[in-house]
Amino acid sequence: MAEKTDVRWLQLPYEFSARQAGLESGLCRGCQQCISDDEIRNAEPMTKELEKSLAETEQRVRAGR
Amino acid sequence: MEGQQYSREQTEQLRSWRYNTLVPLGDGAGAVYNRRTGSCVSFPPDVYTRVEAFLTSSSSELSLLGDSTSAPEVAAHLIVGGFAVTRSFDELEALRTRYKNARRNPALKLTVYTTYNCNLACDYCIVGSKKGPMSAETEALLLRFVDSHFKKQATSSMTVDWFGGEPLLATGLIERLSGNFRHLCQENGASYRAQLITNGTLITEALAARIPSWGVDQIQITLDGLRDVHDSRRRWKQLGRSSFDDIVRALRLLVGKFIVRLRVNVDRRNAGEVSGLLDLFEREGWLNAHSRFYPYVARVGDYTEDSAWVDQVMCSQDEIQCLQEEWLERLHACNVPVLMQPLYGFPECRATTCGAVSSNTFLVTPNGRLHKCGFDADDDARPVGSLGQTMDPDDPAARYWRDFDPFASAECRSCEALPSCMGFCPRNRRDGRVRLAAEYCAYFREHERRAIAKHIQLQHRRS
Repeated sequence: MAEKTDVRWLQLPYEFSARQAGLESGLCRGCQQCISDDEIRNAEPMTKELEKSLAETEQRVRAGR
Repeated sequence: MEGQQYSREQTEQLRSWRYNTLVPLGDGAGAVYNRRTGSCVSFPPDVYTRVEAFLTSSSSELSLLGDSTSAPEVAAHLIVGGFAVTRSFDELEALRTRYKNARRNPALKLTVYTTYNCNLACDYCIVGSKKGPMSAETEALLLRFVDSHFKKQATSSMTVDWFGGEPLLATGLIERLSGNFRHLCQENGASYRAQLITNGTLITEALAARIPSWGVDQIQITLDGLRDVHDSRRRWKQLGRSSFDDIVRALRLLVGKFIVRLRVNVDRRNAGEVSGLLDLFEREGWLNAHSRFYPYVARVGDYTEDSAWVDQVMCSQDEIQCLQEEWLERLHACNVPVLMQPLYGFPECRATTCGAVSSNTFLVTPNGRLHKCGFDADDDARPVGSLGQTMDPDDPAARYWRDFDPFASAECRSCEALPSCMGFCPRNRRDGRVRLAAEYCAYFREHERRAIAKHIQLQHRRS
């Protein structure tokens, strides 16, 4: 995970994990069953998605957009 | 700081999201949690100081995050996490849209009361005095209800919670309906998943072996303490027999084979005693990273008329939180994956208040009534419909749930905790439970930050 300034991500944006889980709404199911989603939350593809988003966003900020 | 190097556009485009919770962690370090996105990020002391200044500043100038080399990187974290947004972004409207979309989710979610009967006599039971199992006629009507749901709209998933009474007093019904539900899902290309909420006393080796064939992968069982404490509250109805040994025997058959959530109902009578259960679970070898066994404490409440007396023994929110923190530490020390989990007090990023406001969520009673909320299940005056009858969209009960709008209250609209609470429990709001409402608001305003800090501190300690 990108941690150039020792920033630590403890929980990713929920949309990441929701998309990973293939939820139609892209959001929480409100079913209180997050325990069983633990593996999904920490899935490798989400980490890659986060790194990509951070790099792209940093580029945009540097470009003033 | 080299703030003057930023263009006017750069410094004006961002602002702090109002749903941020800043969490100081000591020694100048800190974290930010965002209630809308669920993102949680921690920063070392030097960075946290700058982040805090940025997120609490009315100007939100990018230069507050550092010089032109370091600020864009920190800003990227804040933007991706939803902690900072562009000024034109309407956060309330985003929440409202999310809420509307989630309510229309076509996933079918049923809670099926197989029977009102129960073999235990828990003194704090919220279920009333109704008796009797679901009849064959009601069973057929329920199956037709599900079939017609699939015919009416595309449905990608169906989930069922088996509940009661004690649902395992009607295993034949569960077996038949599970087979038929799964067949319908298969025909319609939908996934199927079920949870069993049982007292566990009737589970034998043979029954435990049959449960997976029902599509059940998660089981919730309750224990209220070690034998003496538990049995003082939850005995068999007949002969007052102990239920503790039956439940522990069941757990030995289930842990490791299913996701097991072990609920411990706590009030002032057993709060000081329940932690002995953790020693038992550790001795049994259930507390580890792989067993998928999740014991948790839950507050007993006076949620229905039948449990109104409980208000005399209810724990305060502070008492429960102290106990939750103790359990969190013990479980984390045993490598149970409890951190950042809503079951253990970490806030949940939710789209709706609860399942009851979703258009395709129903509770089905043994007498064929359709309800939205479990607390209404014993109240025949408040169904939203009945199996076998066309649902009337203008029925007052149905309209209440369909029209429930957490954004209607000016107080809620302006509240920074709205994404976490989504407007308080609709049922308690309807019934004017003022004390519960006040407690609910107080939790999000006073206790949530403490819960977040506890989870993060444990995470940091581990790494």
